[in-house]
Amino acid sequence: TVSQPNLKSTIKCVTLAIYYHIKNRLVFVFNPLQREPVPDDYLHVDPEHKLIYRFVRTLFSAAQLTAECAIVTLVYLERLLTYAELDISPANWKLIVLGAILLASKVWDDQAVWNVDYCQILKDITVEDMNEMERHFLELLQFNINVPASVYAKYYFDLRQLADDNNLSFPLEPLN
Amino acid sequence: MAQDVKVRAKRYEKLDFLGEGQFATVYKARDRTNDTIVAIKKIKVGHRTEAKDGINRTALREIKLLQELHHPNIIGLLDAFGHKSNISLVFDFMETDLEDLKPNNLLLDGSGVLKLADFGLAKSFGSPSRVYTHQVVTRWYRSPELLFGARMYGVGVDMWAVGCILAELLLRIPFMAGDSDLDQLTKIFEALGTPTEETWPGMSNLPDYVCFKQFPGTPLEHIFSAAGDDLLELLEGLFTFNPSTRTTATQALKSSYFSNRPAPTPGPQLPRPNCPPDALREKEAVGHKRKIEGLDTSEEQPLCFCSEAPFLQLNCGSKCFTESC
Repeated sequence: TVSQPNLKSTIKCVTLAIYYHIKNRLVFVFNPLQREPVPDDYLHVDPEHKLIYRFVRTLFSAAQLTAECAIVTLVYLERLLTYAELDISPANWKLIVLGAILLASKVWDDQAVWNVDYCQILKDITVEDMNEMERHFLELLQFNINVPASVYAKYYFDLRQLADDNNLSFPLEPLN
Repeated sequence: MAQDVKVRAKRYEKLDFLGEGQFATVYKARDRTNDTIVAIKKIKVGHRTEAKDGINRTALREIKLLQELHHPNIIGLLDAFGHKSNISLVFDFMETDLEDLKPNNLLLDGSGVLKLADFGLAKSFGSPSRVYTHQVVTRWYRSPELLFGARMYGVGVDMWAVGCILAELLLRIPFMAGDSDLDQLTKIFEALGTPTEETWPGMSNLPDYVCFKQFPGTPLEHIFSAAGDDLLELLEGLFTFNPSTRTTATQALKSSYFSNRPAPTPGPQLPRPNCPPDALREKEAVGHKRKIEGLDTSEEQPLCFCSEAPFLQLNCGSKCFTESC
């Protein structure tokens, strides 16, 4: 349901939306979130949906995040791409997705996950880098972090449609 | 983009230091783009472990809520900007000092209109069965269900706080000032009498419930000796132990206290700090007009409260203190 979506299906759909964002990007542009040089093929080969799904699911289960948080993650991610006029690419998707998850949980979840907790989950990022990324993310969003109920609902139903179009299950559950 | 951020920070010219709290410092500043006076609340970075958590999460939640809420009785967020790990919120400038309903968070603007401020702990009201944290609301204004550790609670917690504020306005000092959670409960029960399973069904099943001595309580008319029957009735309703029968905002606004005489003082005539009574009288003409307009459509108009010597007015629009805030 809108207020308590199924976690697994929601993450599947959200990551599928991210996958399409990467796949359908127009051109590769310089992006300020990417600082370290990465191998050539890594830069150019699109990650598979499964890879994005695993990355997000790992974070969500380790930090015990909710399906609502996954939907807000997608809202923030798309908002960032629009505001900052940047493309999500094979080189930057992990950082962008991480930034969106971190912010979504920080702003919306009652059970706080500390920034340093993400470092323990991911291991290859320092808390200083994480905080820097968070600040950069917020500035690019111009601190526009509210998600009105109408926007949330629109994303929820768009995700259901996306699931339908891709033969993914998004089970209807009885209201309780 | 980085340049844009610098431009935003330079937009404000710091004029004066206004105050300092546990979590923030407030400055008076000028917005160079439109030459208006604003208040800038700079969130303190805090101790090291907190600084390590990046941007202050309470500030982020406050920003989120203020972006959602637009109401004449809620302080307006004009802008937010960051610099390194600092974060600053820009507000309308208020004459009085800057989810927490308590007198310190009630501000009056230049025309005597009341504004709620400080939404660091506020949350939007979602599904009634959601589990929430119970460490909300400054202790003196915290309802007994929160003090007993309730994780499922509703707007009743705000109405209890409203009762405490109303009581404080009458007494001029905090009504029940506990110095720990247990002491707070003791103070509540001493004043209002210890509730029982009959008066508050389900009380003993709350997570942090402890059995208290049976205090008989003091009749409210002895505590608030200058209050009339209509006001005592309102207080009684707000201090109902059972959250599901406690007076709601809608019920409170319909109580006879708000329609009985005397009528509230018009906002512009309210005494304010740094404002001599003479200056207030100049605004009287405007205020009087508003009052008459108010009487014309008494059914629909904002309902206000005042004491015998009114000094604070809740200029409540239809939505104030309802489920949405």
